[in-house]
Amino acid sequence: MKISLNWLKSLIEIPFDIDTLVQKLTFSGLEVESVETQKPQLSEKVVVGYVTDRIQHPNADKLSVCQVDVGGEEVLQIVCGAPNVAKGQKVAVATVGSVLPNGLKIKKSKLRGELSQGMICSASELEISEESDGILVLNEETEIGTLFNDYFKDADTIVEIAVTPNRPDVLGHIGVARDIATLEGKKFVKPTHTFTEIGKNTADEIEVEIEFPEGCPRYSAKIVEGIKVGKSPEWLANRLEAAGIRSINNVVDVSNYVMLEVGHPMHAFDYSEVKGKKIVVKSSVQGEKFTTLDDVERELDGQTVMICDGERSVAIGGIMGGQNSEINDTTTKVLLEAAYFTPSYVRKSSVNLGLKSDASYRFERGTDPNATIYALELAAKLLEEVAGGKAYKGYVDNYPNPIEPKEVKLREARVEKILGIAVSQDQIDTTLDNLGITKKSEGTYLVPTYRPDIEREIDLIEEVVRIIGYDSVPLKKTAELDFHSAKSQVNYRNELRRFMTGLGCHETLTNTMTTTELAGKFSEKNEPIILANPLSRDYAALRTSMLPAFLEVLRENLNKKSGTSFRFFEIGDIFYRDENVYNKAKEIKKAILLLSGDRNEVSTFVKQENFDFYDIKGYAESILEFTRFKRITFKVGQRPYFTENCLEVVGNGKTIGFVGEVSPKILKEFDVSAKNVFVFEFAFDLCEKTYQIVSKFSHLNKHPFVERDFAFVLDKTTEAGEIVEKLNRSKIKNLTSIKISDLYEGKPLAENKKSIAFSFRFESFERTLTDKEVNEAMDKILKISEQTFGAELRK
Amino acid sequence: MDVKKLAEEIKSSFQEELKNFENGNLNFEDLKNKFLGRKGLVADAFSQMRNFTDKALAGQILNSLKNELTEKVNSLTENTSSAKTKKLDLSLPGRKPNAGTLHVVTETQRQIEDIFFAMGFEMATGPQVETDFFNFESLNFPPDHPAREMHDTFFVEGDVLLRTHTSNVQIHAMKSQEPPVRVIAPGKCYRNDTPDATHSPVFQQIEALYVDKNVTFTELKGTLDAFVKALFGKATKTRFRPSFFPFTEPSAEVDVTCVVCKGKGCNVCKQTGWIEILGAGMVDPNVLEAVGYDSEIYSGYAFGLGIERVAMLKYGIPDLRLFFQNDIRFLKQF
Ligand SMILES: [Zn+2]
Repeated sequence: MKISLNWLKSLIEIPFDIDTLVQKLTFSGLEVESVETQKPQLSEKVVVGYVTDRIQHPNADKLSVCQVDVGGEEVLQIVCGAPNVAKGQKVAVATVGSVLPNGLKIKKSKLRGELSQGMICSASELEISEESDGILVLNEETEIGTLFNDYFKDADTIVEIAVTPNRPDVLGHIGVARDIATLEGKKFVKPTHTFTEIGKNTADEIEVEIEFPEGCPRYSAKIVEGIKVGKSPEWLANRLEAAGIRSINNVVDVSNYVMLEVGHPMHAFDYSEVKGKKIVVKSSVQGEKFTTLDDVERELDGQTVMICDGERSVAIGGIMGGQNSEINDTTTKVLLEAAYFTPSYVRKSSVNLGLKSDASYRFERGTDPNATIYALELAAKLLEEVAGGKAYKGYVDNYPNPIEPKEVKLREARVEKILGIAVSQDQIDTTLDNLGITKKSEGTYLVPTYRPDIEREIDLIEEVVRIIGYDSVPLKKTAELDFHSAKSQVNYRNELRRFMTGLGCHETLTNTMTTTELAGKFSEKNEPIILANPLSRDYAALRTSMLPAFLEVLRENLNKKSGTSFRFFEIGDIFYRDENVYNKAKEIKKAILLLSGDRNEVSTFVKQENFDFYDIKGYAESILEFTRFKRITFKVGQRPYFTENCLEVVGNGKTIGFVGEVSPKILKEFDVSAKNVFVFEFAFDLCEKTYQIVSKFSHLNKHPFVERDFAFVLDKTTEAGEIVEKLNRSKIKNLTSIKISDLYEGKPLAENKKSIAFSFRFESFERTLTDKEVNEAMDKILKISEQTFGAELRK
Repeated sequence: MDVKKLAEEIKSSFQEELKNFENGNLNFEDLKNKFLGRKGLVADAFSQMRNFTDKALAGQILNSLKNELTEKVNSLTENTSSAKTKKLDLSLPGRKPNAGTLHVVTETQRQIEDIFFAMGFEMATGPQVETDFFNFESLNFPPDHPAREMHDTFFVEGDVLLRTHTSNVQIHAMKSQEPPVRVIAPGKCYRNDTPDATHSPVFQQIEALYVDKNVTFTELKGTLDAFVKALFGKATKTRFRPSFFPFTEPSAEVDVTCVVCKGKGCNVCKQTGWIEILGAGMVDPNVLEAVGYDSEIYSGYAFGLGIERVAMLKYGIPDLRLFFQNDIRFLKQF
């Protein structure tokens, strides 16, 4: 809402400067967003001068030599190039030493041989107008020598305030004036308006029926004739423009002026277009078509408030008038409407129609139902003043169930209970009274209808503290601490994040929104969540996998050549539809790790090596170990976006996630130029549940262990893991660990053979093992390996 | 030949060569080989055994010489082992394992959380896909009210939408327990805003809620003051301006001393010395009643702040989009 300071000053005395006003408004809930002054801020050497003489320049056709009195000791000689300069004019003079807004410094100079002691300025040179035709000629009465800035002493200052949706009362200058008065400890009295009425009665020429009182509880009307539609006087046009509304013609401008002053929108119909001397307020018929003032034909729903005459619809109530009854150049008689429309109806219709107006903006927030007559009075007065209007006597006012001021209770003790400070009963009463909230009886207040936001005790408490100032409430921290909560936060999330940075990974933050295509493609059987009103293609669904975002991060980094070694990780969410819960959504916490490029940054001792599958597998093992899974196993897995190098990661018997090499096809689809991209995606929620800090110490073995090696020759197709698993399951006595110490393929082995060297550790917590015991165990290992895998001992 | 004399000669020769070794003129291996090597002086002395008359005595003397020299040589190995390696170019860089980094937004979130944990707040969570009831209605946004315009909402279907703020967690938290409730709820929120330097359709908020007997506006002010001092430094001040949120009353927007210029005035704070970072207020009685709390007995406060905004201010990051680009040069800074 743009507030004109001049307008405000016509309603209330403002005994302080603009900065103070801005502070006061902002700290009482009317946040000032900007202040813009129309007054020029020119150098003080720009003054008003009087052209005492003008002659043609002896050496230049297009120049004049002027004698200009600027109120100083001597009259200045100024050479001027504007064709419109003439003797006897009052002009703006930039004297020697002044600097114009465009940076031009005015110096004493000679122009074609003639002395020039300044410059006569145009409006554009002074930047008070965008274009200008020659020099600026000032009002004749202007005093010679006055500062040019003061010539604009009536220039307006526009204060734009951000009005919160609960304050429709300040959508007019009167409401802002009321708040300012209250802040000054005074009570605002709104101006009264008088105008002449002619002998005819409004009631004789118009009848108002309300068939739809839910949507329109009150409809007031008045007729004004003798109108001459034309341009508005400057003061009226200026005020509207200051408040951000374009001047159209005097009649339309008056209705807008009333809205901006009173806060109550109104409408003017061309009376000659109102058929049957009748206004009927009804509900629209579903599918009805109506052309609004802006020349757009609109289709209505079945519950919009329509203003009709005896034959047809003439306006959409509270939103916009119709083209068929619009004020035009030939209009001489107008029907003025000031009605109260129910906020929720206006809002619904405005949303359904996709049509907003200054009127609907106010009605949907709630106007004052008891301000209609006041609005008509001001309109009648102004039409008389600016359009020669002659008002008919009285009003037609259909208001079947008057809306009364609300009674709201307020207990003094409750104020302290909420605010934490005591406010005296006196101060409460005075503050509220200044806002127009009167005391009905002890503890009961009457809230005027222009404050629809005040309905409850808490609303009154807010008004009190808003006016006395939030600053007057001291800071206090009284809550006794209890420590039960803070220490119970076992925070796997933070622990894992730190662990990952220790592994050299960089945490990312990727978007949970994605395209419908990617959400569908990366979803496993589940239906993704698609938005009904997407912002764009990229923000149309919630992700079903973190992988696409990670591939995009990698691509962007590669394209920017921002590095050569990438280890990214993130803990995030993915989403699916789930019809079985109230919000029809399942949100799952996931984590993802991606490795690509160089294993380590190349340096003196570090040769370039690419990440490979065993890196990602190793990271996965490390993460799961950190998470304290007791048993970690890997199974051959399959994911559509991984190559056949893919493992399902199983922790404590549950699938935790997958490690894999991203397939070249997917890399191509994502335009990722890297070849080696490895990913571990895992269920963060399962890990979080599993994670625990180790709570018990395990004794170290006092007895020595024995290590024995075997190298087996095996078929190439046999996997090392199969052997380890088989041996682990065979419960070989005292065998506590199996390590794979070497791999070999090639001569002298046969083409289809390979060799794997294992290192077996045996130990007992009870005693030192004998050679015999270990030999027996090794025999058993050999036997099992021979029988199950056809293994031969390598000689 | 006199075995004793031979032993003495070898010993004094050793002393001399030891000096050469200590001066760096002889390396360890050569020293060791000269005396104890297979063809060294001691071995050579033993090889002359048959020339000595008292073989038993000679054996004894030579053995004790061998032991003595071995011991001396071994003690050299222990004390001056560097002597055996060559001197390194110490200016070469080390084999540095890559140091990972945390994302500045999640790290800021953790800092904020830690302050609240220290104040006795607990962690609460709620869904990002939410219903109109939890996101709006129970928070006192009536249907068809212009207050809803404050939030450009993404809709899924029917009454399901993406939460526009973390305030939905207030309702979940209060519905699941009796007062007192003192929780914080960080999380992602969604608004239908075109991305630019200061807007993102996805952003993170942190919500705080405290409901108990005797929670007052002064308490809210005191807590927020303590919070911003912990987050931005002890000199930080707060300033409360009346505002409007449907779920709190009285409501306030909270400014803090500009973290960039410390209140002197700069571009970031538009020369005011203050920056707005929080929305706050006393929990509206309608909200308390909606979750079945008696608003005559209980009162509370709630506030929320944008985590990215705090991170931008704290670290001087000019564009919100940098957070989501995940350029490794950006990530490595934090
Ligand atoms: Zn600043």
